[in-house]
Amino acid sequence: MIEFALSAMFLTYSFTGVFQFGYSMYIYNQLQGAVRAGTRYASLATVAKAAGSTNDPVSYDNAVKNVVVYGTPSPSGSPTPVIPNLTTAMVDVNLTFDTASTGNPPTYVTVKINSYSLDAVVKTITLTNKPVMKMPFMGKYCIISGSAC
Amino acid sequence: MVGSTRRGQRGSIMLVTASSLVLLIGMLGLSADVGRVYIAKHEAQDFADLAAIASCRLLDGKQTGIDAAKNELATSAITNKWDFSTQTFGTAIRTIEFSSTQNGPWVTTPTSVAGPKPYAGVAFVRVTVTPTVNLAFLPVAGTALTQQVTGQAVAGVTPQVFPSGGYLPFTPFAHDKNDPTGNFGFTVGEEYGIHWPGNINNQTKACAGDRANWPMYNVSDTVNGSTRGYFELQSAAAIRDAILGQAQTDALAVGDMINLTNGNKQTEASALTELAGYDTDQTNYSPTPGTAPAYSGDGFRLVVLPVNDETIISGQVKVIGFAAFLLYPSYNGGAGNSAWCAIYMGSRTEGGGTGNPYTGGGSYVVRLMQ
Repeated sequence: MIEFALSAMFLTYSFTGVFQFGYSMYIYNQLQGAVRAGTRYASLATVAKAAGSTNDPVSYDNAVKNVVVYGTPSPSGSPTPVIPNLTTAMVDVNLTFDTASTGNPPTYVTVKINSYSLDAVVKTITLTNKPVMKMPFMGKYCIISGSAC
Repeated sequence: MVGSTRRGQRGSIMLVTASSLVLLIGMLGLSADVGRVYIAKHEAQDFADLAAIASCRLLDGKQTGIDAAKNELATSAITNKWDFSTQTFGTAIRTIEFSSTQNGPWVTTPTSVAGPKPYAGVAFVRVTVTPTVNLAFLPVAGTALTQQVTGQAVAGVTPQVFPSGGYLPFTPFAHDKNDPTGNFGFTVGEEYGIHWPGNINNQTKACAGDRANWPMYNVSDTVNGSTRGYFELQSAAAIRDAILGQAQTDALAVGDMINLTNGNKQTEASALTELAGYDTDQTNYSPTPGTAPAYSGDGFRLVVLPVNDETIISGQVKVIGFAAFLLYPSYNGGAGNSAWCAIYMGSRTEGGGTGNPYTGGGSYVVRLMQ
């Protein structure tokens, strides 16, 4: 019985380890895919910004975050995140602007998960600033004048 | 007797556990190592896709374009990494190759030809990354110590396929030829003149989007004749054919010089109306600056026009890009004093780099091929 208890303990640890590793990898892979989808969307989405502003437009950032978390830029109702417990607050979207050109056009966009707690039952791993992707901005942008763009 | 049996049972449990150790570690290996390999593969593929598109859009037929593409690959590798975003895709594991066709042959240094565009045909980029993942558990089960994964993507600059093909024989004047957005100073959703009468002495005759940019017409007034907007074609029949068949035969490229022509031809207005009439969407959208109309037709009203640089030299202007315009459902050209307007829908060099359009002919788009 003692031997069985010892072996069972070892077996339990092993199986838990397998689950822990497997689940963590699975979630990380999902996150990578979500960030990729968000980056692709971000690089082609339209940026409507104020002249001379080097801040990301809020609506643009929110749309990209929604693509990462829910898979669609404008989810309706109370949507379910693609990855458990992922929220839009955990996604960072950051445009880089060309300050040398007139109108400061966006040049690159970076999308990353700033902090995600990967809860694999036994141990919780916190992912900080990963996955991250940076891509040239290739969409259209316009300068807001008055209420219109 | 009893004791020996117990000893035997004890031994068998330990034996089974011990012999299943290999299997257990194999399982650990499967979940940990294979997981890591798959994530590395995913990261490598994402990097290749991203870098291929990013570098391909910089090709401009010249050495500068090839160099810029290579630099862009290095830039992409700064932030985009592998192995849980920790390892760089270094120069040893990344390659960028060029080709004039989608399927190769691929070369790292393309062959140049004589002329101002020595790499005019080079329109495809292939990015390959080959990171090597160190395995922790699987070697126990007899595999190699490392596993190499490959991410590969091909991106190309390909001719933009318009729903109905070709472009119309009208050339709008850019409002800002240096517009960094690539919109030529136009606003999506606003209407602009594609054809207009001469001697406009009050702005009410102009299309809404042109009223704010009045000096443009003063430039265009240097063209002789009563109306402007056509290029190249002279005869009414030829222009009509070009509109209806969209059979403009000149292969136009960014940088080409085109001759401005003139004339007010009633038949052209009815040809535009006839073309627009083919479309399944006959809604008369109002121009709304900043918002593209919710057009849902099959493309007959969505026409492509070469935009010029508003600088007339000996009756010629230079093509600086291609733009999509939405035609109204009907045109009346009866009055020679009215402008014909169309709604600007956007530049048609989608995904192109700013200021460095690929020059081969027509309008182009950057696409991920593989």
